[in-house]
Amino acid sequence: MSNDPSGNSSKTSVSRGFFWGEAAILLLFWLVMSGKYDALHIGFGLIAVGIVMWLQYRSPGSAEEKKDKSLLAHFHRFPFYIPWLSVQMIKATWQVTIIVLSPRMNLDPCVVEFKSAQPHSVARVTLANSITLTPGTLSLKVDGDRYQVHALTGRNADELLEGAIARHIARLFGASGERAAYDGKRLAEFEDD
Amino acid sequence: MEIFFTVATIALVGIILLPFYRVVRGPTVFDRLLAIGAMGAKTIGLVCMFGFLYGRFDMFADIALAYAVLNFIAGIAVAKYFRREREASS
Amino acid sequence: MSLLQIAVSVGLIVVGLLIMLVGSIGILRLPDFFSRTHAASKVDTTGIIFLLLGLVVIEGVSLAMAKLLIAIAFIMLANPVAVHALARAAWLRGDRPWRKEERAETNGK
Repeated sequence: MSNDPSGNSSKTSVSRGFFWGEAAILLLFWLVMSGKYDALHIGFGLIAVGIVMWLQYRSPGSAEEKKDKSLLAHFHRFPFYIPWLSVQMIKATWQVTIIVLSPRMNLDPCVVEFKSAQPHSVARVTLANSITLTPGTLSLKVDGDRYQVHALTGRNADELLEGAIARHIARLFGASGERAAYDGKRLAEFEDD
Repeated sequence: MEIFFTVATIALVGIILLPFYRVVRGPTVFDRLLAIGAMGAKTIGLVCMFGFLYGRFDMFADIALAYAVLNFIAGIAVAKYFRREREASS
Repeated sequence: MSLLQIAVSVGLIVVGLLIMLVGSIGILRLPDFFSRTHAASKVDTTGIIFLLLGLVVIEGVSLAMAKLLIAIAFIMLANPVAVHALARAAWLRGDRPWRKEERAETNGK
């Protein structure tokens, strides 16, 4: 997956492969959900897949939208993401369990803000989702490269600002992981925006 | 096995009813919505358990999936609605 | 159904129920909306996934199992997003998180 914005000419063959891959996944999804394998039902499935693909690729849109159009192009490394996320979720659950079940809850919430250079919008969404599921942090607002995050304890906030999670997501989507987390600061006053 | 599933389902109903306190008493409207969302998310598991109890799991898996999608859409729509409300009033 | 299958599935279901119990208690006990969102997003998602994995194990390889796996993947993506949407709405609306008292005093000046 290339990062340059003007890589349209070389991308057509690749994105064609992703196009048919996406159609195949949608058809597989239909087959799993329907559970009936005669010609009529598979025909309905083909029509439905055609409509969905047409809806997804129909509008011309901006250059960035076009790049993001094929979700599969960004998600083909998704299988590597699930095990890592599972470990993070279990850690997060353990931490919240200890906080909730201890008689005097050891909370020190704060709000932090940082910026993260991610290759495209799918990576941004994945990062926000990961922040929510990793220990002690919850994304409040995502605005371009700027993330505002609520942290349960100060230590969670510091760990997030070190940028291990953001770097992992950036690498997962093929970026170098530089500038994965910068300009991190605590919002001491909780001022608006 | 049957007994285990019955007991587990009853326990799950109890767990689902716990956040109802927040729905009734929650100080802000978002507390109520959050509790409703959490109850809905757990209901997905409850529907699957019912599927096993009634021995018609293939049907209840579809219902659970549809319920999950519906719960998600409802949460997003309600969150958007309450933000709009503030923008309109300020 | 082999005995191992039953044992693993019962274990996963019990763990899932306990985790969901913690999530419910967290929603009741934590001091403010923003910390409650932590209980609702992380803990509940993990609990439901454990419960459904237990059902997957006992179901064995079948079409319903594939549907359950799709449901698990969907919950993993959608539950945090729904909670994030609520937290974002509250944050943009001007609600501010609860803080420890001494910290609020020292930061106030």
